[in-house]
Amino acid sequence: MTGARLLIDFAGSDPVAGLLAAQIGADGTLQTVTASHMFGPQDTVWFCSQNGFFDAVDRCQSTGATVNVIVRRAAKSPARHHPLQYDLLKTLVAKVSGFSLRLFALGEAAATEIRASGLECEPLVYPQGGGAQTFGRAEFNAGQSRFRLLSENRDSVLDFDAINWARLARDYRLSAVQEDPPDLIDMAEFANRLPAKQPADRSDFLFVTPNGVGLGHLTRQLAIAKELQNASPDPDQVKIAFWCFSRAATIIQRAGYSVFLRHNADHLGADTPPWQQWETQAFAHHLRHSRPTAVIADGSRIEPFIVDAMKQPGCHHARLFWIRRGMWRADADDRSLADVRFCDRVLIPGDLASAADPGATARSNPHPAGLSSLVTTAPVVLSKPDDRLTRRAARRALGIGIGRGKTCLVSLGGEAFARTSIIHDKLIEAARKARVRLIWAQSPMAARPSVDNDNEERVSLYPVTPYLAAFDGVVAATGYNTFHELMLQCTCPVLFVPTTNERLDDQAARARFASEQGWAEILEHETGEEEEAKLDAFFQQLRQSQPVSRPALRRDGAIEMATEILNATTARGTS
Amino acid sequence: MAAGPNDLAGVDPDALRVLRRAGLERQDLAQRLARFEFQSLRRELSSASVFDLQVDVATRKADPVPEQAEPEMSMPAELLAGLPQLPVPLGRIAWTKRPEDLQVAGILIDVAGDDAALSSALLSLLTEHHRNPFARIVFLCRTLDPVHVLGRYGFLCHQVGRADPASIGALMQRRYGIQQIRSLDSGRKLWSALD
Repeated sequence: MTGARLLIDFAGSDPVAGLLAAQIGADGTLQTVTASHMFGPQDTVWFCSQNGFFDAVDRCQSTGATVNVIVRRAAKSPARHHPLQYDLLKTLVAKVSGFSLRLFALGEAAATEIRASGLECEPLVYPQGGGAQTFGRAEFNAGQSRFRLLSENRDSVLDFDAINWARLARDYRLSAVQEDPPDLIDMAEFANRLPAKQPADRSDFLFVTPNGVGLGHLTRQLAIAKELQNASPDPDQVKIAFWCFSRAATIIQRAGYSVFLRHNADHLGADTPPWQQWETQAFAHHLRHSRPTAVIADGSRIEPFIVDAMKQPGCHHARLFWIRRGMWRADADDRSLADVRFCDRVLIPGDLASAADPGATARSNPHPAGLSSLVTTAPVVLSKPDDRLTRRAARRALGIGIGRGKTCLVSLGGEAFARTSIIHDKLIEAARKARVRLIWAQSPMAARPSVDNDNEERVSLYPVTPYLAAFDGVVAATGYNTFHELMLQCTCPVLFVPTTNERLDDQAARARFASEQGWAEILEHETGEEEEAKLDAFFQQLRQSQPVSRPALRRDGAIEMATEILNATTARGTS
Repeated sequence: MAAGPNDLAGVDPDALRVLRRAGLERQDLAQRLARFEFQSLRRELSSASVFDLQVDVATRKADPVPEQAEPEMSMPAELLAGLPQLPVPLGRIAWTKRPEDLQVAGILIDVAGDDAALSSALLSLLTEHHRNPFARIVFLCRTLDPVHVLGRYGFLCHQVGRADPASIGALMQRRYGIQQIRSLDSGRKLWSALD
């Protein structure tokens, strides 16, 4: 056995384990006790209750370990003492040997009661504790096993087992009343007297990137990461890492960030529970060792492994941000909106078509907010106006040539293959008639086409937005990123072909809204409209080279999100 | 005595024939799909630019071969011991009746030189895997460069950075039941569970 280890018993997900880790300032040597652990003389082992100790006392014998036991008072009202347990503990204290045993109580009152039973114990509360700034009050509702969270502008509830209580105690003062069970009163005292937190003196951000169909989540996160970096006086010192389930992880690495390439259950063909066990333990291990100040997840839900890992002792440091795009389909499952309760902030990237949002995120969330507050920013895009190349430079870079012919970019997205094959021929025919040259955008992550067609020109680069000036028009799907980059950064005619087999994103609603505003045309395959006529009209418009008026936006959603994250991670600080 | 799950007495023979036929057709379809996927992979690996992505997002430089790429590498043995073994997919270019019967092998992508050398080595290995699936493969990659290609065909890739194969063998054995790690370049055995 090498090196000193700090072990905390976390059986039964006792919230005291999380509070204890925050109180003793547990570092990267912290581990949770498992059945496989053999204790040794260099180990300090904490049991968060006498019951946990009773179960493991045989494993402690003759190990030379330092064993600390938190003696707990009754967990039920009306208050009952634990005379039998205290007696058993007294007997054990007299009989055990081969390890050092110390008993602790969560608070002063508990210590007094336990001492009265003849057991020597020390209160665990931090002598100078209680200096933390608080945002509100968390009242126990023992009957319903949840808190009522009260602050100036909040009245919400949070289940006891939703989050690590050290996260809660960072912002809320836990409030017990005389009628509450003694153990809850002790836990409140313990939580309220955790060491005062210092503002974070470093910037360390961990993005969690799901395995989306395209590059949407990844692109949005790259935009925010870049602004987190830009906001620092020394950008190279900002630590940014990605916990990445996307096979496009190499893009993140090329952007200059650390990547942990992960696999989801589908990649492995695994059942969810065993996969989740691995992911939870690996994530918790990383959180304990790297202590990021923020975990930033983008997706339609907060993955359970994130929630479970952050509940573990020593994993309370980070604030949890959920980047959650709107425009969910009206029929999309909205149960994941309950995940807001796990988060510190829910960051909504603004959508230019939000007035047409038919989905659950546009309505009032029926689920309790818990800790979280919701912030909507301007749209988030990766490419900035300054990144745009001139027409000449863009065409030269793409090898298109500087001729006078009209050129149209076709970018139908990762999910659009089936529809692409249906309208493919119609597009080609319409473009031929109008003497417009088509250039097909292909994700650099996508496989090469199975049939090489010499007549089809392709560009395969990421991101493609800086090169938009090379084109006289664009035919595109209506995913969030494509839509906003086109609407905010180009003035040429755009024809949207929304993907309708997306499970969540309502691309059709976004495209229709743009059409109603006169920002773009729309081709809806399912409606059976006259596709040929629509395409002919679009290519005629393209040939006229008339710029299209679109919304001008001075705000930058990526900067706004980075600012929110920085403010939240530094304002009240993290322990 | 209650009928067991395999007791077919009383089952309509026509229904059985249909089921058997559906099973055979499914098998035939899976084999054809594997052939199609292999042809696609072969075409990709024959291209000189298969790993050459046109990506322009650099804001700073990251080490493409990190010291430690997997948090599990520093996880205590006691924590790893409590975790269940995870399956490894066969990859979509191959088909076999019972892939779970194949051993799990790690292949360290350690081919020096240009992309053409890597493509050639992968094509050679995966052609064999397609013709006669010999293992469920976990690719252990120094860099992330091959991940998007191999991942597309259902192969599992782990980035191991600078880690010594000997030091990741035990972790991979715990996680996937890997029996050995071999070099893609030389075929040499770099680690074995039996050593």
